[in-house]
Amino acid sequence: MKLMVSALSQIPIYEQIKQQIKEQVFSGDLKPGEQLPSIRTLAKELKVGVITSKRAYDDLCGEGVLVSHPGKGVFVGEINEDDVKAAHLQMIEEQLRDVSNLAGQYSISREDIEMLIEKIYKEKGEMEQ
Amino acid sequence: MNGIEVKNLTVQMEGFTLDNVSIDVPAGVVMGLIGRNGAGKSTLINSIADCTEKKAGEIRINGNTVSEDRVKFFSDLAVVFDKLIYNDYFKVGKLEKLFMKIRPDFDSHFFNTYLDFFRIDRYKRISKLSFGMKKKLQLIAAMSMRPSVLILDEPTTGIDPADRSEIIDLISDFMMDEEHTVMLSTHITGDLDKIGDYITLIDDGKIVFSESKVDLQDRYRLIRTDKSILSTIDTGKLIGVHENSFGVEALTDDEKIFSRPGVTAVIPTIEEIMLHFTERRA
Repeated sequence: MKLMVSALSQIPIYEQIKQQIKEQVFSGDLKPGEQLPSIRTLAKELKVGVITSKRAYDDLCGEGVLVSHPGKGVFVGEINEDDVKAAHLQMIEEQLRDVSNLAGQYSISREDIEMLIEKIYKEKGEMEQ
Repeated sequence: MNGIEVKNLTVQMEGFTLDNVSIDVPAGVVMGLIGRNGAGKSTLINSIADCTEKKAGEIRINGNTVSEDRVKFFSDLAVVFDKLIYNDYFKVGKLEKLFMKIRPDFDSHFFNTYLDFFRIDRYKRISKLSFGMKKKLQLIAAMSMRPSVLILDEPTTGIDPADRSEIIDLISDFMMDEEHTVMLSTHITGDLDKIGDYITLIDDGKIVFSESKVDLQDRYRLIRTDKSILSTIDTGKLIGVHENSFGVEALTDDEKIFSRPGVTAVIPTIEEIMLHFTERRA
């Protein structure tokens, strides 16, 4: 597992840990059933508080990305393709929400945004040819 | 169980009162004690270590008061004060012999391992060590007593970043045991942005808040906006309003305020939370 956190980031540390573990689970770098370090080991390695690492694990267990077996440890959950797609769609949706907020702020119409998406996909298509 | 429990503590000193302070530090966490100079951090730490006369209140270490079980109280607890309390004419090695006499559970192996690790010369007089070395020596000595509760007054103040990071490493190692508890006072709130679990803010002898950092950062937002928008906001919900000619910055826990258009909201650092809460009003 690869993890790097920064106290200077705008994103809270537990959120940084969550995002990075999620990315690795969804990309397949972390395999279902694989054991993760304990809350205290994670806290010690990252020099963060135990409540911070516990919060990250608790949230991920709540989302089904991780599963906790009391007395044994925390493991990567059984993730299927649909879950991965749903998670990726959610990430894209969040970014699109930012785009639509920004468009609203600058009074850019929905049609203009759709044209931009068209343009991006067209350029991508040309590059791949 | 609480590693450290302070209940309704009042300490009266000349020109300063620690006023009815209560703090619970659950076993297994790092509590950061923050506040301005003279806010009462050191007085609180000295009272916990039973070095200051209390007017009222109770201190428990792992559930025990000093009068219930003095031996257990002091074998569970180790305190690193902000000032060096050893005779600095001693050589480092002499300190070890001294500790072995007064603390039967002093762990010489641990002490020597870390002396070597930090390259502290046992044949040197303490007075000849650098400031950072002295701080590390104090921390190693305290940890060699094998306490379960460690209280540190300003462990990283005046220390260069490399030494500071080593001190934080030592504290992180100590926290591997889930029955261990740390309380540390600091001006360098950046240390707590990472390692701190709970934050207690003390101002003018009173507790402003004492809660988990994750909760604080979930709840509070630092907002920035301009004055025309400020006039439409209920300022009673704002903490420490800073104004300049371009705009306004304040702390708030009111979701209605930070989700408003024209208001940008960011997650505050511990330092920003402290600054806004302890601002002196003219």
